[in-house]
Amino acid sequence: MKRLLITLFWVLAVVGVSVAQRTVSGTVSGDDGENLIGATISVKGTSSGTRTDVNGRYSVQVPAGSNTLVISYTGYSTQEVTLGASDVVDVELAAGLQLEETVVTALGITRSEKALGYSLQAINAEELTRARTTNVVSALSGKIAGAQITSSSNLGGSSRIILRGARAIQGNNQPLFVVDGVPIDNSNFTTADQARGALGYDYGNAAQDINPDDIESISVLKGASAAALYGSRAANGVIVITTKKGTGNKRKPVGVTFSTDNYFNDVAFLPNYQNSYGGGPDALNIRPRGYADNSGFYKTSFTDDDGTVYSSFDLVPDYSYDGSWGPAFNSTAKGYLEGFADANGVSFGDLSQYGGTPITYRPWNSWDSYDPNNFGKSIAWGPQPDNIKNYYEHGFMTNNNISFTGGSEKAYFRGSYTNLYQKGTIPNASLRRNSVSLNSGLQATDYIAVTLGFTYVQNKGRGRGATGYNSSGSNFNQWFQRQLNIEDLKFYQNPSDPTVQRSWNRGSADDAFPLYWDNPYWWAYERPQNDQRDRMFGNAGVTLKLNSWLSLQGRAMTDFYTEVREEKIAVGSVDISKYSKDIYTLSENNYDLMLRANKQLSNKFSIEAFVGGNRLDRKLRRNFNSTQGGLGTPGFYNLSNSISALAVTDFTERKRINSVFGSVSLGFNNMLYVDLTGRNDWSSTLPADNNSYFYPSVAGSFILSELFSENLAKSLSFAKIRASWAQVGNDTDPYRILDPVYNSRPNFGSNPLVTVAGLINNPNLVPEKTSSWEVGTELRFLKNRITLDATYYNALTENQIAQVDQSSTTGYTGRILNVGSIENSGIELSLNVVPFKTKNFEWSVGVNFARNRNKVVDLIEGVQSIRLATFPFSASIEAREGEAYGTIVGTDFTYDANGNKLVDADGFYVATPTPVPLGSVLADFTGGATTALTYRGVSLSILVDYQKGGQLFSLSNMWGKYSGLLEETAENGVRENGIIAEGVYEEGSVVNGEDVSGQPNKTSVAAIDHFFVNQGYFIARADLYDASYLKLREARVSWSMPRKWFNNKVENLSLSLVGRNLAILFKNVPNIDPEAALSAGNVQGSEGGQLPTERSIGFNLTVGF
Amino acid sequence: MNKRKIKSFSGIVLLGLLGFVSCTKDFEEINQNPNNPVTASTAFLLTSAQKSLADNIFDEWFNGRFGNQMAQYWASNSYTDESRFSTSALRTRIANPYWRLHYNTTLQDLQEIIRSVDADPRVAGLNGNVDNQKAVAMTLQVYMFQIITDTWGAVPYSQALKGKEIPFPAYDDQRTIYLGMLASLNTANGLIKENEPGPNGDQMYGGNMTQWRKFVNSLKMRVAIRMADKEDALAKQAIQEAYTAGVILNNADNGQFNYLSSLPNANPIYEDFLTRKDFASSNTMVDTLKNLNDPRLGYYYAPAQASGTFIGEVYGMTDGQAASTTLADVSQRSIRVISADFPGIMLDAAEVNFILAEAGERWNDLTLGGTPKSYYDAGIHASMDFWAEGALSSTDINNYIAQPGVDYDALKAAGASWKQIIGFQKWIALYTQGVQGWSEYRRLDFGVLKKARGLASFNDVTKKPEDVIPLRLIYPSEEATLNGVNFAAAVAAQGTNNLRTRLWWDQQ
Repeated sequence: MKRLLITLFWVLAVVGVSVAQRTVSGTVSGDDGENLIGATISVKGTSSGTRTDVNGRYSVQVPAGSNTLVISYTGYSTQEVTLGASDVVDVELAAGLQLEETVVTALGITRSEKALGYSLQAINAEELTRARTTNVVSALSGKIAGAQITSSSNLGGSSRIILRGARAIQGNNQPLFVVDGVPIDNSNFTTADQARGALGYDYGNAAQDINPDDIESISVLKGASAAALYGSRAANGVIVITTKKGTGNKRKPVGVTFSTDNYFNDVAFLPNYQNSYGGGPDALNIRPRGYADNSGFYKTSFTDDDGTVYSSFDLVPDYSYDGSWGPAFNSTAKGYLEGFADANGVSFGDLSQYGGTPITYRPWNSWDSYDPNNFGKSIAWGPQPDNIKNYYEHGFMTNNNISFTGGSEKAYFRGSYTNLYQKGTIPNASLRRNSVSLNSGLQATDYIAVTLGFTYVQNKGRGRGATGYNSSGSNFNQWFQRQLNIEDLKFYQNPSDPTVQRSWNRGSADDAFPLYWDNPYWWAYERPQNDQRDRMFGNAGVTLKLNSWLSLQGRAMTDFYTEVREEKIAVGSVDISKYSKDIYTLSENNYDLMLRANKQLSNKFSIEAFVGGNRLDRKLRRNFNSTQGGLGTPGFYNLSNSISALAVTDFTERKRINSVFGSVSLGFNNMLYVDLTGRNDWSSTLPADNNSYFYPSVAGSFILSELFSENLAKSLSFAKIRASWAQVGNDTDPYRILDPVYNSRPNFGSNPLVTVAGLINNPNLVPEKTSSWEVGTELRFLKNRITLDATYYNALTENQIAQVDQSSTTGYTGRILNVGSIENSGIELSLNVVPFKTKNFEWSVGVNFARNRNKVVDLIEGVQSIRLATFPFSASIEAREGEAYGTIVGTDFTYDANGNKLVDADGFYVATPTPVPLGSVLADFTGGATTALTYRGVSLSILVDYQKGGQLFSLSNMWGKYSGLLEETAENGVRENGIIAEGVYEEGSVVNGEDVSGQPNKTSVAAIDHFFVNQGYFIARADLYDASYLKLREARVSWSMPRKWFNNKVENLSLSLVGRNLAILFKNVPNIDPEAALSAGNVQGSEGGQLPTERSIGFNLTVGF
Repeated sequence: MNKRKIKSFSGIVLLGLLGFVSCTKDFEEINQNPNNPVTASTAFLLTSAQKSLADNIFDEWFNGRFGNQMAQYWASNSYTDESRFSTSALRTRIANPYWRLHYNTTLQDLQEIIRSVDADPRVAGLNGNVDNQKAVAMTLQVYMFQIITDTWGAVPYSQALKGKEIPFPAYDDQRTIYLGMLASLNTANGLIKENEPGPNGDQMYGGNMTQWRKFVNSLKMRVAIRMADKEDALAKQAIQEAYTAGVILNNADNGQFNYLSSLPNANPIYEDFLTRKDFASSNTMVDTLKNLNDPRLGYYYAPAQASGTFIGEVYGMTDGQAASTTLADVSQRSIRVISADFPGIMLDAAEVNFILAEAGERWNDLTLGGTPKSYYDAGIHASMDFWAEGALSSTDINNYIAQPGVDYDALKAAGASWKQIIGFQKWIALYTQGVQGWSEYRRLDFGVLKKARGLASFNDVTKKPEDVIPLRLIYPSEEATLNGVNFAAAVAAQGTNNLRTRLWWDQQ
């Protein structure tokens, strides 16, 4: 043992100088002489393996005792090579029928793809990093059939992925992320308000700490059966990530690779604004009231409608109105004043002096003497078409990675450092990430191998934009005035008193303090939030080889982090000044031990089996402190600066799951494979007599093409059918069993307060159960030029544990129940075609498609619906019996028998009296398509992805119309002429004494009323949109330079030009991006205060030595 | 290690692991909730209940946008939907959350006190005499239930607050609730032991049971007088009993929740005012006070900043109309009303005096120690003393009372009914108690309230204010889903679930 430790220490400590482990390298080519990219090399009898790079080269470590490489490539005969003395092995594969692609499956086991009885999709590192994102989840967009990925446009924000639909009514629906065996926490500790579309910051999902530069490959296990071995969390599927391991050879024991990505990010598009009318509630609202006189343009006597006489006046817009229903920009001063006088019965005296001059007015910044450039000055009344656009800056991201690899026959090593810096498009926003990772392994003796890998990540965010309906600075797609010049707003504070904010929506001449929401620059510079997450995850393992076919493996895995979030409200903000510090500390430790057997029983039978056990310990602590009653000293952001006692949340959550599991895989004649797995969990969160649950799975695959005649095989080179069935149990959140529960509240003076908690726990809970099955086929035609993979699946999750709302008249607002079941079924297709291929040129096309049908099958007696959240103002998202999960519920239009919308006698639409289901947030189908052209070292690739269907409620559209900002509020003369809503009068409508029931609506309403009363605020349906889209997600040109150019001194050098999120080719929702995630939780379909989508264009340079 | 040792070592490790993972004996400890207390002192529950009660009826939503708007004590500067009786706004912003809060916080915590006292009187007794604790909890429940039923009508009452046993409580009609409340108050009165310690944690009377007895009986009067049109005999009897047992006749005995001077324990209206300027005075009340030269004008409201005079903001404007009204041009609320430690007035001497005046008019054979006029005058005195905090002399007040528009006898001689005379002054005195002011308007029909300026009905001469002013609040929409069967039965029995369905005690 001592020897082992010393050796390990030595290996880890001495970077780059390693005792040699045998590493074999070489080139793989086809029999036509072309180098094969992505060919699989595995070391027979071990889990060691790799793929060839773009030049067809590979390098693989060969553990002691192994001496056979298995090289396979789609469309070529798999070849086994027995190693001799040379460490360089070049292989030429013959085009053929045999296939032996290997993939990484559950628990990191490399399996032959054809043996799998379930669907698995693999993605290599190159696909992942070619158009870099800061979030590994969003990098998967369009690449996996059956994954619905929704990414937010927030800096370092959330991306949500669900595979094969939502399974859980409450609780996590995202797949489990596993990096080298370590389950990686993907929490999104966002507030309920942020998720539903009220004020909040999106801090992103925690799996974004996984560094794409370190990833070797990703296997996506979509179904429950692939996942049965990972425990309950894997019922949503598993994203198995394998990181790069170190390799080296005698020629080159140590390698260094440097890679840099640099992207320029800009706001891709903004809503369509109107540029015809300025701020105010009505066309005649520029008033000479409430403001002191100094050197105004107009000098004449004026009597206002209250009879007050002014000896001089300036025209001043109504800055207290948060919208743009004001005077037209093309009004002349004379015409305007005439109209104003008529409407209000006031006299301005002789108006001829104004002639046809346009209106000039005193802007908000002309009333402060500390602003000498603008003080007392009037300016022309005109539009500022780019006022919102100009708020956003050019964003920039740079990601730099350097990695060292080394290896010998006894040890391998890879160290990597990545630095990411991103400047946001919102002023003063930035994201920084530093990752250090180390992967190493050592074959200590013939019988003992050890591995050690860890990653340290530090994430820092500053000035993330606030989302939702709120008083935040970037609110101007909901509320604004179109004549405002954003440049003027940069002067946001009184220079002699930095606690005095200055903004446009001021209440009076002598008070520049905003009425409703902060100056956007004040928000950005005076009250940016800060956050930092320090995280470490890693694993240590020991494998004891017991004999040629039996080994014992023990591993300890940990993932822990501390995240600190500081939010600030500066003294002088619209809200009461505040500082809060929210600290999350999470740790998850897993320990497992497995006995593995791998034996070829006879020529025809092989067996792979293991049994093992696992313990999971998870602990979450949250310590939230917030000042109350304001901050004493301005600018001092510290909890000790609170005027009143602190508000405190002190929260700890613990959970343990013990498990035993086992698996047997049998193979017959390379043609028929059967997998059996079983697992039993004991969870601390369930009642003692119900805390154990068993879940089995069975999967099989049959290689039909083994039976084909040679003739048939020429056209249909490979055919496989597969089927599987699995059941997965699940527990619940901690502390849901025992009553009574009280809540402590902040003291009242010196009196402590305790209140009864609103929730009734349940001592009779039983575990949840998901039963699923899938069938699928994989077909390859014409020497693999065409491959097709198709799957049909069905999953039923029963005994769902959920918190169900209860009438508060019972004294409680909810109870924990086993409440019902959800069913998902669907198909997944992926098709890859190589229409053209020569030695130097290849054109390939890949398409994937998935369709999922989801239904809340039944809920228990008395519960018709479980509300997930209420969006601000209008709609809610629910799980309703008989509807799809995630149904948006709100008021609808009412219709007559012919489908015409009904209006009342006043010309307004009649809403349904109660909320009704309006549609589901889940897409009808999703997918992506890629095409790539490769000529020697140059390649061009394009990725589009799409979603059809799925609904969203858009608060930005709702308020943008109500506040008169959007183009449609100023089109076709609606402001001058009013609007007649399309529809027919409801039964019993009387207009001018005449019964007009059923007749077409003829009542005109004012535009401002139409865009309020007839829209989403009263009729949720009016701002419910179809979230379909087709996006040009990635485009890339890359050039890999030949090695010989550098005298073989440089291993590889490649340069790429990359664009990401280049265009939305198609969408149905106006003004916003339909991919409207606010957070990564179950509450989706609410768009509110979306930050603009960014388009990225940049380059990557990779150099390897 | 040789191969053999490895094998036996592995076997031991594997067996050890199986033992390790199948061990569940510390699960119970792991699943012990460290975040919430599992016991609760009745004193802590009482403070919590009282604070919830006050916060939830005096805050910017239930009182600011609802109660004080319905009584037209305040008008809205912006977001004027509720003041225009928008059913959508009233339901989503007021009905949904406050229905929940009244039951789930206030009533539930009070219920928990009663449960604790019954379950373990020895432990509960550490926080004061258990009967006294129970009496206070029952009384405050009645106080809360009356506001609930006067807002919505039929509500869950007898089956309410039994969450684990009755997940779908039936609604009781308002008569049942009123009779039940009266019975509860009688029980509470019987439980009070003035010589034993009152409850700890009491923020209203500091555990003074003599004052609590007065509060119980004053509340009994409020309950009784409100159902007087329907249950004449019961109301009459209750008022006589209450008077005999002792009621609040001086401001020193007023029932109020005493807010502290700093956040988060300040009056919620103060906190709201720090960030929002959504409410101003209402011209309904300002014009009334101006017409009567009422000295309370300056205590209720502040003069308009621009002119220094009192100008009421027009009640019930559209958002557009409100937006073009400059804040500085109209009277805002007085400094006192928006100050941090302004108390939540729950039941005061002025109201009790007005109730006694009315009782004298209704039933001339009661022994009440005064005449309708003497109690009417005393009600005005009590109100002015409270608001002026002694700054108004008795003479000032008497001069006010002597005016023809105020003088009880003169008004009667001029043909006014006692309902109008008493109701009108009571409405003025109930300022800041929005739901109470609105309830008395509905019950006594003394006019005064205006149509909302921003509604089409404002210009429709065929519609009088009493044809459009809300008579109740629509039920929260969530009841239809969470308690559907009982909800439907209640609507069927009570009448359409709209703003204009008359409550039981509201005689047409």
